[in-house]
Amino acid sequence: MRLSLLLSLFLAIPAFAQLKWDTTEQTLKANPGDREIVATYRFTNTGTTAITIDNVHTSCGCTTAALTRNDYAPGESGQIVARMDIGNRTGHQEKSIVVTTKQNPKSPTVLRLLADIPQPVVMKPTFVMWALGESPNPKTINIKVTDGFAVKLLKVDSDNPDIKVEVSEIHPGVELEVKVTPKDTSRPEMATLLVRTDYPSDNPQTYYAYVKVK
Amino acid sequence: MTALRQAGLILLIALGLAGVTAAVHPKRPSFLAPPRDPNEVTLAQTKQWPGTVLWVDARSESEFASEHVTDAICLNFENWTEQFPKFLDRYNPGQRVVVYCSATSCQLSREIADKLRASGVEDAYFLEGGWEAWKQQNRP
Amino acid sequence: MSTVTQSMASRRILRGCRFVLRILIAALFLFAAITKLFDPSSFAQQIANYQLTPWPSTAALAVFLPALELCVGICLLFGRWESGALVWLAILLVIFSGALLSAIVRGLSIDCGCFGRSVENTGTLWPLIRNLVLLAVTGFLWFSRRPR
Repeated sequence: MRLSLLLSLFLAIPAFAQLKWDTTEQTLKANPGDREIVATYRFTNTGTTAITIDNVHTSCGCTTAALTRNDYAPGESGQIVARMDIGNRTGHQEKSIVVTTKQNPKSPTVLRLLADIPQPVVMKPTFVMWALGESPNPKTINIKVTDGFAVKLLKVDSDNPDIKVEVSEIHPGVELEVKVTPKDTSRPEMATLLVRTDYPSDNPQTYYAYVKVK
Repeated sequence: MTALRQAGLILLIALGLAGVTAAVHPKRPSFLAPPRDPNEVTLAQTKQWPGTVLWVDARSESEFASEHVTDAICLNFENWTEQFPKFLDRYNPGQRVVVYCSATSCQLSREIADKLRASGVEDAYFLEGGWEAWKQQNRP
Repeated sequence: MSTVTQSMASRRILRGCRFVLRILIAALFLFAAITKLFDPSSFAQQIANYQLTPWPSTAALAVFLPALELCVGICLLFGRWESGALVWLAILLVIFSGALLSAIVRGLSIDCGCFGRSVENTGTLWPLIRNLVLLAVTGFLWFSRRPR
């Protein structure tokens, strides 16, 4: 009986291997011009046996999660560094990272990364189109600076002289209305409108709108 | 007590516990069917639309290159600036655009459809089931 | 050793093995149940990813399955209503294994993109094998029950 008691203690222990996370959810704000968002998730093995992390799976190809090693003895700490590629994403983003351990494959941990990617300048729409033969009436694009951003809209140019651009300032430097008029719609045309700003000061951004006659 | 009787009692207790959890747990799941997004469409619905659908693949370029919906165009967050003008070459105002990514649990298609709508594409939807659903329906 | 003492010794070993295995399974299920009961909402999402059940049932299962696992675990831990617990144990293991098998067979892409990767084999094959082993253990516990 004593032997089996000892055996049962020995075999029951693996069930109590456990990772304790500092936090499983982080909210981060990106600065305009940032290419990626980085979040670090720290954990400690508070169990009584070693833990092996055998799978770290992100919910999106844009997010990578790096782990320096897979095995953690009791008491050891480690961290997972998650990097989310911003690309052209804007607004609120939620990505998750699923961490599975060899000891508890049925109970993975889900880490969440909530990101806020600000959009300093909003253009609506970002393109205007005419069909061939459609009457060349002007179409408008509204360009507005988001509240809280010290952006000044400087200039709007068309790279195609046959596509005319007329800018009216609703709020100088903050909100513009751009009237786009093609010379005629008898043949296919295209143009890119360049919206120049002074922000950020070390790397002023230019935004693009597209014009097509097809 | 027979095994069956015991199992029945266990069931009752489990149901009771489940009921309590469902009622008061701070992280309980919502029991109403998750509301259907008006911008989500099924493959069946797209087949009933008049005119041709412009299919947009929201996945990475390498996944697109290996296989994609016939005549689809790739448009993702990583390469939006380069790909969007090419999308405009294909797109005609009034055309319905359906975005897809790998499967049901993937959110990329919804996000790209949202971005298209914000850019001025009025009829931008995303496909329920994604590439998996299309592949299943169009197996040779 | 006389034949009487021999059979008493082998019965003792049998009893010992039973005890060990019963406690082991109980601990496993209690741990699993408690972990899931911390966040039923996430568990519901995990069940939904298997695409086997319609939504309201999925939410109900997310709450009911851990509750059942908890009851079974407690019964096995204290050796009460063991027969009833073993019946549910077998049923649960068959259901979980079935779901895992179906996910593997359909090559479900539970996550997005990532080069169209299906659920990693380390994620579904290992639990499937473990469930089958547990099923065998359940069978052993059932057939070696002390006659009432």
